[in-house]
Amino acid sequence: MRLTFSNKDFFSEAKILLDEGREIIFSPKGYSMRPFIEDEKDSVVIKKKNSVKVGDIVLVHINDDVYILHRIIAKDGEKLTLMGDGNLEGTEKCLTNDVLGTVIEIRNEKGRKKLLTKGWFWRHTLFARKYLLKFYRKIILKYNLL
Amino acid sequence: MRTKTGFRLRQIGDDYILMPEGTEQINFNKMITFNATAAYIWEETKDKDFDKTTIKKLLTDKYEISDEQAEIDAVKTIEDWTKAGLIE
Repeated sequence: MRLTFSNKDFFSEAKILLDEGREIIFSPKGYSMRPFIEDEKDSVVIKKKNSVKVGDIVLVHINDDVYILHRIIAKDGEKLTLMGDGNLEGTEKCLTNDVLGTVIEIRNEKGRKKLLTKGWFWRHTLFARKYLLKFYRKIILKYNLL
Repeated sequence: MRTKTGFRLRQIGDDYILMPEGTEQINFNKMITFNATAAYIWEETKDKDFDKTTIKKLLTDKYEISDEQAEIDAVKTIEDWTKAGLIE
């Protein structure tokens, strides 16, 4: 009973539910939100909020069938700049209107709540991110320290 | 037997999913998916009493399959739905 929708189908359905005020839970794919969200193992609870802030992890409709789950690193009025915590470079621009919802909880594969912060330290240590991510992969993940 | 109420069948792409109604949280990781045939049986048996014979008839009416195959599929459907807690 595994779901294998295309991104587009899945997220257009997700958008309807979020707009109805319901919360959705799913497991995001990819490594771009390391170390906070682990590919397919973790799941996120998403809810549509009235406003978004810098540091929020948001689900955004970028264009046609491109949806991303990244952190807001800058906000200028309605304009948002996003970046994946696990990325060393590259940002995405969008508007607050493109935000489908905000991550309100991260769960590990056992269903236990994981740390969810505004990522202040993480956002301000981009210069060292390469090494922090390497430490996370080689030590924390390898020895299962989380 | 009857199928449980409180679900809405929604089509997403080529799949059909059983969306729980009225719940605040929708967990896509635990969602029940149907193929087109199962979706057809679900819709046709909604709010009705049914058994193996009902499903068998639905299958042979719509698809060109043998009685034996329809019997196998009907039993399997009831088995799957019972396991998934969809039948009361």
